[in-house]
Amino acid sequence: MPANSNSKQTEGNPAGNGRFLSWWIWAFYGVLILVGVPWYWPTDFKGTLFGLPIWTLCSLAASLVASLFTSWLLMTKWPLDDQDTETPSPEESRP
Amino acid sequence: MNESVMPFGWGGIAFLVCYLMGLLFIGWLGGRARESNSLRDFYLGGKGVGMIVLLLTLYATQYSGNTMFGFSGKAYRVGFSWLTSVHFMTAIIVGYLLFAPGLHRLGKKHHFITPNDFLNHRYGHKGINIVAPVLMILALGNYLLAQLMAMGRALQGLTTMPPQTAYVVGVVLLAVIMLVYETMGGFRAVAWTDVLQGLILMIGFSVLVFLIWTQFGGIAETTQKLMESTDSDRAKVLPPDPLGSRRWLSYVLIFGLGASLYPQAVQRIYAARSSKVLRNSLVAMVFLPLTTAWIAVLVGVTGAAHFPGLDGSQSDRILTIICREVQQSSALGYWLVVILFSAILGALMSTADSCMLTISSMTTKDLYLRFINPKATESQLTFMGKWLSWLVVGILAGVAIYLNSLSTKPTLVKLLDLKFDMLVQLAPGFMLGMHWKRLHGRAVFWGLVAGLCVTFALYGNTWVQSSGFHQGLYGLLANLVVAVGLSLILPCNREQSTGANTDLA
Repeated sequence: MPANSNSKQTEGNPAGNGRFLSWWIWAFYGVLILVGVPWYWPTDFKGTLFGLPIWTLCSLAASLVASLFTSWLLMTKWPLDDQDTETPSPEESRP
Repeated sequence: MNESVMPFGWGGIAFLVCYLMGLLFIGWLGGRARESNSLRDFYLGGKGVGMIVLLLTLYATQYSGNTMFGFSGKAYRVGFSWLTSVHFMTAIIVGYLLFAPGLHRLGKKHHFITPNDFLNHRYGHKGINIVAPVLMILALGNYLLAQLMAMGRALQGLTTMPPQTAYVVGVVLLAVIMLVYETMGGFRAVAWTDVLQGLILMIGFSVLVFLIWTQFGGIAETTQKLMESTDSDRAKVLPPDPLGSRRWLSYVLIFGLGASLYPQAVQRIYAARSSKVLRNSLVAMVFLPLTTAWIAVLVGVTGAAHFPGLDGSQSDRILTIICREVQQSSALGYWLVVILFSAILGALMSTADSCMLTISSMTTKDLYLRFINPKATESQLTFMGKWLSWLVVGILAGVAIYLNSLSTKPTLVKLLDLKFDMLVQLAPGFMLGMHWKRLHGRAVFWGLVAGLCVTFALYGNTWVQSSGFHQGLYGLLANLVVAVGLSLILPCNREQSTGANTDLA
């Protein structure tokens, strides 16, 4: 995304992080937690796949999806607007 | 001979000495690169760091001695259920989404140095300016203490000296090396040594995967072995019970909201050269739990299958025990373990030095400059910060040595937990305060006080323990109720309508 368009989009919200507050983003993380935490497996479940207990593979898959989703959010919704905001440091004039 | 001891020959010792000397050399280079004798230069490296340095310093700082010793020890005790660690390390990056973009922008604009600079800018409340830095210093002191203890334990496993002597030597020797390079180069020395330590750490985790497959027959054999063993060991491959699942969820929440507010990580958000650099580093960081925490879990579970019978803090040494086994198997195994041990030292030192620098910056800027000597010059403050590091580490090294002399030694994960119960109380001030203009400074302060009171009042409470949730989360609930409730009741003050909040909306 061009820098200019990005800056314009954050004018209304200079904190620049409102983009991550959509309800569906956090609802999706909620679903990932529901799938990733193995609360729904019987505590004596012994099935394995590729040498690992199947429930661990499920939790690992949820973790991988969470990582992919977060990286997608970072790449598409992170505001790149800091080029214009730096002001001279007051410290530079201090003794 | 003690089976957790793996004495290195001269070759291995020489490699480690070269590595430690290399850290001192990098510290010296960091000192030479200094641009000015200012706090920002000493604590944030001036104009900031690029993507590779930021990524590796975040990585080396967040993955610590706890990851290698504590996580593998915990996985040894509870088995695959410690996959929790993969989830909560991912949750930290998710937690950044709530405040990091805004914090970076404000940090650049207003030249923040410490985490409390944001809170002061946003709320300008004297109570917060006292409680928040003290809270962060205590939490980080706890973390630094855990690293120092792990350094001692690492050397215990390396030499044939009496265990207590080896522990003391490990704590003192490694702490002095850290202090020397930090005093020379400040943040640059810490971040640049983190690059070396982070790279070795990545190599170290790759070595671990290799060792698990070649030496212990892979994870399938481990799972099978645990399935066929006693009830307590078989439980390590089974899904957690309802209490275990609630603990799992609790860890995800408290890490996502608390560990993302690691003061040293917040300073790295300020130190990123640009927003893009920060974003790209986080994109890489979000995948690292799968290549780091997960490997630590595999190590612990492999240890549980092949070296059963260790209890409590003894189990935190499982990595050392595995290393000893590998070291004795072949020349290749010996050198792999030397590399792995360097990675362990790197993990410990890189986290400890970051904590040390951040404690020093908060004590100097948030407490001394703000409340004791507001007229202090930059060079006076920098000088003071350097010597404060020596004092703090000296005291904590003494505590680490004392704790090790106790008959019941605390486990590393127990030490880790304490800090998040405190740090998570800052979440409303940072995360809610970044988005909700109406959040009032007085409300945040009383919320913080209420949260801390509830957290400490519930400490050791059996009902809380049986609920599976950290007491810090109950504290956070009280904190939020007070902070939001008071903000709705109190009228908007001048700052809220005009001052710092204009940055937010």
